[in-house]
Amino acid sequence: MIRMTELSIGQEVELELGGKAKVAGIIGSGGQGTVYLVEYNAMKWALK
Amino acid sequence: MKDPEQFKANIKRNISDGAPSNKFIWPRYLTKSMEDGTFGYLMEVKPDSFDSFVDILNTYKLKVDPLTGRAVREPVRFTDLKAMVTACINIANAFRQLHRAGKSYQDLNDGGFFINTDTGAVLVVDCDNIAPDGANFGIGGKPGYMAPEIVRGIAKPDTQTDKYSLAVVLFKLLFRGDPMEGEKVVKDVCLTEAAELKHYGSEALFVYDPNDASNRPVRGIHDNVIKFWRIYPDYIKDAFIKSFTEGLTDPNKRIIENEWQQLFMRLRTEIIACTCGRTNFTSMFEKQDSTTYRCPKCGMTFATLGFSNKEYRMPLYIGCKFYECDIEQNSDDFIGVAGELVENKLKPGVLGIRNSSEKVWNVKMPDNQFYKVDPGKGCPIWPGLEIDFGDVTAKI
Amino acid sequence: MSKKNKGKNPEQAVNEQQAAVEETAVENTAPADDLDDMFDFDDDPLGATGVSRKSLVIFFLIDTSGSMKGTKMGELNTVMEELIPEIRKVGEADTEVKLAVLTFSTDVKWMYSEPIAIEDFEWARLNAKGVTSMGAAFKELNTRMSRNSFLNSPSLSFAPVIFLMTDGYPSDDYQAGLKELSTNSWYKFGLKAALGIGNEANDDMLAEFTGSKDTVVHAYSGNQLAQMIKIVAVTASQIGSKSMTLADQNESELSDEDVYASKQKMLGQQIQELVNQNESDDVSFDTGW
Repeated sequence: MIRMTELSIGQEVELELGGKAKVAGIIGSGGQGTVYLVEYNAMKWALK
Repeated sequence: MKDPEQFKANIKRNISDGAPSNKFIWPRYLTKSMEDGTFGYLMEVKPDSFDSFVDILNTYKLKVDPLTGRAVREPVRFTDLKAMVTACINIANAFRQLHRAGKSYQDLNDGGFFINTDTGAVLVVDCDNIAPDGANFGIGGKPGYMAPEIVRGIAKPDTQTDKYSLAVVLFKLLFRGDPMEGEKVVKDVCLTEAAELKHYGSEALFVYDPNDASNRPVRGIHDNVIKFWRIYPDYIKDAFIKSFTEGLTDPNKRIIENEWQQLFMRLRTEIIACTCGRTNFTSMFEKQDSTTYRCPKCGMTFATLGFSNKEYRMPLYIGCKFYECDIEQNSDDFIGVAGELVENKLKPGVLGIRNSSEKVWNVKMPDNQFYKVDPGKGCPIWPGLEIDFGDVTAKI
Repeated sequence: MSKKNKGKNPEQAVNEQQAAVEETAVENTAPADDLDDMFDFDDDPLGATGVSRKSLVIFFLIDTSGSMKGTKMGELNTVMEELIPEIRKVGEADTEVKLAVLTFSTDVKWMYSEPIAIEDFEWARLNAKGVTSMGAAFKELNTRMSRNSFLNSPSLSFAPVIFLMTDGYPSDDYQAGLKELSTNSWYKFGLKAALGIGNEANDDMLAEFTGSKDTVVHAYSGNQLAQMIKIVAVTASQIGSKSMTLADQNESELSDEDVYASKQKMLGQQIQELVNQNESDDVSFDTGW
C-alpha cells in the first residue's frame, strides 16, 4: 500500500474493478512499505 | 511523495498498458483509494525459485527458522557460470524491452531484480516508478546507481540515465563491487551528502579508469573487483570502461542495451567447462592455435566451431550449447537451444552435436558427403565438420 | 581497528589510516606478473565474497536517573525491545546497521562494549537511579565516535544517528560536554534527534543538542513515549541508512551548500509530519498519582 497504513490479516481491500482481496499474510517489508499476500478470485496475489 | 495523484495515475496507466514482457512483475489491479488517500495494487507473487539481487551480492539470505524464530544464513550462489552470464543477457534484454515500450525505470537499484540462480532467468519487480520517458514523479533513484547528471541535479531520470544504471547493475553482478568506489572514496570515510555528491556525481571516477589511477580498488576492501577484473575478456572490460569514462558525462556514449546483450551472448558462448572442473572464459585458457584452446590446469584441448555470422568461435565441450539466434540471421531468441554437444549413447567416447532446433540441418559427415540431420538427431564431430543451418553455416 | 591508536589524537590516526589505504592502492597498479607471485590466484568467476557493505551506527543516549523510575523507565524498556525488530526491517541489504546504547545517571555506561549488529542486538532492561550526568555522556560519546573506536568500519560509513532521551535537567556541566562533542566531525555530520520525557524536560536545551527545534519531540504519557520513540528512531534510521536523492526542481547544479545537512532537515520535516498525525490524549506521566 502506498502510505503508511498497516493492514491486518483477514482484512479485505476493495479493488477499483470491483471485488475484494483478502489479506492472508505478509510477504515482506522494505524501504517502500509492506507487501502482503492476498487472495483474490481464488488466486494468490501480492499487494503493495 | 511529490504528487500522489499523478503517481496513482501513472500506476493506472501502467496497468492498462500491460507489462513490456513476462520478465516484469507488473501492477495488475488497483485498489480503491481509502479516505486518507492510501491505495495499493495487486501483482503476481514472485516464485520462490528466484533470489533477490541483493542476496546474490551478499552471497547469503536470511531464513527464519520456524522453530526458534532466529534468522539463519543460507548461501546464495549461481549454479554455474552460464547461469550468471545468462542473467546478464536477460537484464540487458529486460531494459531493452522496457525502453522499446517508451518507458524508463527511473529508480533502478539492487532491490529491483530477482534472479533464478539455476537458469539465469530474471524478474524485474518494484515497477512503481516505471514511467514514460521524460516523466518523473519525485523519485531520483539511488546514488551509486543514479547517473552522475541526476546526482548533480542537472537532469531528470529517463532512458539515457537508465543506461548508466544498467551498466552499474551489470558491473556489480560480474565484479561484485561498486564501479565508483575505490581508494579516493574510501579515504573520505564518512558518506555525508556532500561526499556522495562528489563521489557519485561531480567527481565520479571509475575504479579502472585507464587515464586516472587515483580511485583504484583497495586490497582488503574491494578484493572481488580486483580479482574479477583480471578474469574477464577485454571486450567486456572495454565496454565498462567506455560506460564509466566517456559515459559518465556524455549519455550518448553509454553502451546501449542491445550492445550489452550481444556482448554477453558472446561471453556466454565463450565459456569452457573443462572436465578437470575448471570452468572459465576462453580469455583464461591458453590459445594453442587460432582455433584451439588448452586448459592450463590439465592440458586438455578444445576445438572450436566457427559460425558464419560471428567473428568469434565457440569452444566445443560436452554440454556446450548454441541457440536459435546463433543459427538464424534475424532471430532474437537467445534462450531456445538449437544444438548441444553430447556423447553418443551407444558409442561412449564419440562426441557429436544434437539438433535441438526445429529445422533440418545439412551436415558434412566423415565421408565428406552432406547428409540431412533431422530435429532430434545428431551428427559426429570430426575435423572437417560443416553444418548448413540455412542462413548461417558453421565449420570447425 | 588497532587499539594501540587510542593514545593518539584522532587526526593523526586518520592520517595514518589514509596512508595505509594509499599503500595498498599502489600495490594494485603493479604489473600482473608480480601479483601472481604474491598470492595464489583463485580465478573462479563465481568465487565471490559478499560485497562490502556500508555501515550505520545508531547511538541511543538514555537518561537513567532516579526521576525516570517507574512508568517512564518501564515504558521505555518495553518500547526499545519492540523497536529493535522494527529497525531491522528498515536497513537496506547493502548497509550494516549497528546499535550502541549509552546510559547516563550518576555514572555513564555503555550497554555493550561495542556497537552490535541489529540482527544480533538484545535489549538489556535498564534500571533508573541517581543524578543526570549528561555532560559526561557527551564527553564519552565524543571519545567513542571515532575511527579508532566505535566507528571503525573498514569501508564506508554513513553519518551516525544520535538519539538523546531525557526527562530532566542535567546535573553536571552539560554545556562543557556539548562544546567538546561539537568538535567531533561525526557529531557534526550526524543525524541528531532528542526526546523530552515528562514536564521537567527542557526542549530548548535539547534543541541545542540537535541543532534544530523540529528534531526535538516531547512525551507526556506512556503512550506518547512509545509513539515518539518509534517515530524518531524509525524515521532517523530510514533516512540515515539511505543515500539521499536530491532532485533539484530547476535542474541547476547542486553545490555542497545545497546538500549540506539535507538529511537533518528531512528528518525534522518528517518527524513533525508524523507527530502531527499522531494525537493522543491519554494519561500523562505527571498526573493521576
